[in-house]
Amino acid sequence: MTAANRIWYPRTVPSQPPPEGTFVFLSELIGRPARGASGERLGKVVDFLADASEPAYPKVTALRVKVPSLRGEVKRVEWADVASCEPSGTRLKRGAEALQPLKLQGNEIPLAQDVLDRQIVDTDDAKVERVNDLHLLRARGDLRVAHVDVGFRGLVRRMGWQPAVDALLKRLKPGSPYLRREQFVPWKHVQPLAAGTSKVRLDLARRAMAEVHPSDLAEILEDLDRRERAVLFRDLPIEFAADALEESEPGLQRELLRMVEPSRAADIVEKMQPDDAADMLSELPKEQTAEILAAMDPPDARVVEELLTYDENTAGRMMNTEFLRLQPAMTAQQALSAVRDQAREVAQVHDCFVVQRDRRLLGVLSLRDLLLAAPEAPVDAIMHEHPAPLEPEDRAGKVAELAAKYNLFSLPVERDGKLLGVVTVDDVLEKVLHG
Amino acid sequence: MADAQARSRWARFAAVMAVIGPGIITANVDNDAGGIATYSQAGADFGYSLLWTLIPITVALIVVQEMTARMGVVTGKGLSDLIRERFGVKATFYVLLALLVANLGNTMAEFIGVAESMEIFGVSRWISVPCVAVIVWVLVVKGTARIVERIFLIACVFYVAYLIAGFLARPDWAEVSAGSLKPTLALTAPALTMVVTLVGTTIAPWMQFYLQSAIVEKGVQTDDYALSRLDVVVGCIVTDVVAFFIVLACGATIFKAGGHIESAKDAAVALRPLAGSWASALFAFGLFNASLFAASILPLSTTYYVCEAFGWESGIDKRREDAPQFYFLYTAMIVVGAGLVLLPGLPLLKILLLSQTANGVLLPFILVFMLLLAGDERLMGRYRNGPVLTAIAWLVTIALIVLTALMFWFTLR
Repeated sequence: MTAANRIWYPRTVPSQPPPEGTFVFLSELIGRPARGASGERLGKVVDFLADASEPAYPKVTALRVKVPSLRGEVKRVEWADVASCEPSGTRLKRGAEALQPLKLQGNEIPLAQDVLDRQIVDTDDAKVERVNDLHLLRARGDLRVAHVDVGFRGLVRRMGWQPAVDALLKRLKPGSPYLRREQFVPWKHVQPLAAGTSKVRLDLARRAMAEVHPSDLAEILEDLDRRERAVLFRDLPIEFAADALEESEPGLQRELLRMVEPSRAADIVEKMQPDDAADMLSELPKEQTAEILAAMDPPDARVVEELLTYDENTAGRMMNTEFLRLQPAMTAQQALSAVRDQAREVAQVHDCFVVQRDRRLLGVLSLRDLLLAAPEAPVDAIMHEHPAPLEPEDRAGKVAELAAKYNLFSLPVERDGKLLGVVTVDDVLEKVLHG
Repeated sequence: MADAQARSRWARFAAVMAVIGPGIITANVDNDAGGIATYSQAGADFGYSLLWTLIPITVALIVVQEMTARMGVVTGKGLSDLIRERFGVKATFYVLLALLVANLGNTMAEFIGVAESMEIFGVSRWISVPCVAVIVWVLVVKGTARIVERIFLIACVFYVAYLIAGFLARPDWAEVSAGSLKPTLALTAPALTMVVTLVGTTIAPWMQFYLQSAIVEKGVQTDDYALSRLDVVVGCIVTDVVAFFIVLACGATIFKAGGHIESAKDAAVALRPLAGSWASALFAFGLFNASLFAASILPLSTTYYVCEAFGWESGIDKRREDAPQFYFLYTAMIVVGAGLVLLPGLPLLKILLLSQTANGVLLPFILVFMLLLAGDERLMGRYRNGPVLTAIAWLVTIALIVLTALMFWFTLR
């Protein structure tokens, strides 16, 4: 149930060798004339469509050609109808009959319209970049997308100054990194963000995205413009969305939750740690909080609602309601297997809490105590009293002080002798630093 | 119960505050050193005769700013991003280059304003300009720009200084209403240049970039758009009321006395014998206030647009090694802007007015880009410009182009 059980995929994206061939830039091909089989001018090449469902080196499937007319109509030409595609111009195998009405098929993504000059996520470096150019590969009659160019050289090329700048630099500073290095992102690491293109890529890039650390993902969401942010966030797998949301600033959290349906928002909130969820919901407008809570699973919603009754920056709000529970009559061996059973649901497994059936806290013991104890030793013989139990109203500052004084990883929160939850130091640290 | 009510009222107030601000702040930064100098000059040289132009200028300002705000709300992107995504690298480069040069001129104008206003209070420019430059740089790099913006919302109140100065100048109200309602324009190079400059200083291109980013930054969404529009319209009206009173104060005193001014400082000094020392001090204080805050906003915002459009890391939360272009550009804008002001023998008022004229010449080009973007259905959906608005906006753009052409014609002839 918690985000702790997130699976980090090993890197298994196959490093396909590039097919042999020659490279050409998208900026060198667009804006050039398109001619028919007998050399007659049909229009101007304005875009290339690539099949986004191919993870690496997707094929170009069609072209867009702007026909010279008053309204500047754009037509589609299948790649099968293209005889040659060079910076000097594109030649078709047929005449004007190859010009079809405009449409998008399957997972086609228009490169100039939706990738060039736009923001993308580089899933390898976990960074938002702006695309200056696309690096295409010509091989065996196909045109494939190899890299996106996010470097300064790409900008210079787009301005049409590359020959001049290259010549100048070669004379002035031959060793300049500008001349030696291109800043390319391989297409398999590119997550485009234009509406409609992300879904299919996200499914493909799921593994790549899984390697992005949640706090990097939160930073990526922060760096993006609102539209791209919405596209990325809406299609993120629920667990990733929950992780990223936990790491985001309150302002961004509010905006992200507004972008999705209440039911999806509820699914995401359910995946979060209840204390983080309560913190986030308390920052939202009342109606939005109520809407999300109503759409959540009733037991999960109840936990969050209870936390919400405590004030911000108190132990009650910070506490986790899932923690390791042991019964006093257990042996150390039984206790260890109980820990194993519960660990998946619990954020922190350092301390175990021995409780009676009526939720009264009898004592605590660490996992280390359990491991070192004789297997048959009863739990109530190993446990000791907790030095600093808290009231739900205790402020974060006090909690931090107690944790520091007694060197504690976690502190139980009690009311009338009943254990309500456990505050862990990482929660307190965050509050003391940012609260 | 009463507590809950108070809470919901507070929540509503907080919701309003979350949306308003960008429009009012932008409009008031608009009455910066360049603006005040221009309005003073217009009043001192032409009396009340150009007052009427402020009415169509206000209408145009509202039309343009509303469009900008709407684009920010609907797309969630800054203007330079939109230009880059729609028109590509080349167009973006030239637009931003022109904007960078014009904004460097505007930044200089702010430092001139700082120097002159402090000189009225007896502080040498060799002290005031470097001090303000350092303060501005530190404020922003230390990440307190947001607080500065909040202070500025309060500082906007100080523009009342100009209203009081206007009344203290005791204008002849009959002449004022004649000047504001009867359009007259002499077809001479000085008059045409003054009108283009008035337009340029009031509807400055950088304002459109700044307003749109400020709205995006606030995270205003389409549900809140009505409130955001109100913010913009109120801001536009306030800004031009202030402008009106500056023209009025200088028209009632300096123009009537047959005087001539070389700078905004001259205007403040000239006001002293004619309207009293309070009017003069208020005028100078207003100038300092305006210059300081515009100087803290202009270099930063310009740097943002350039970096974002070219995809360079930007933001004061980034470390210097990670965002070299950002820090270089930002520092250069302040150092060059403040440094040039200290060069002896520079014709400061000329530079100041020239920067505002440059705004006026650049404006129609920016407007063409804005109109193409705001009318784009793929981008704006049902919030794109309607036919009436499109017509008015194109009319404004064409009028500006004609005016600029006339200005060049009469100047170069």
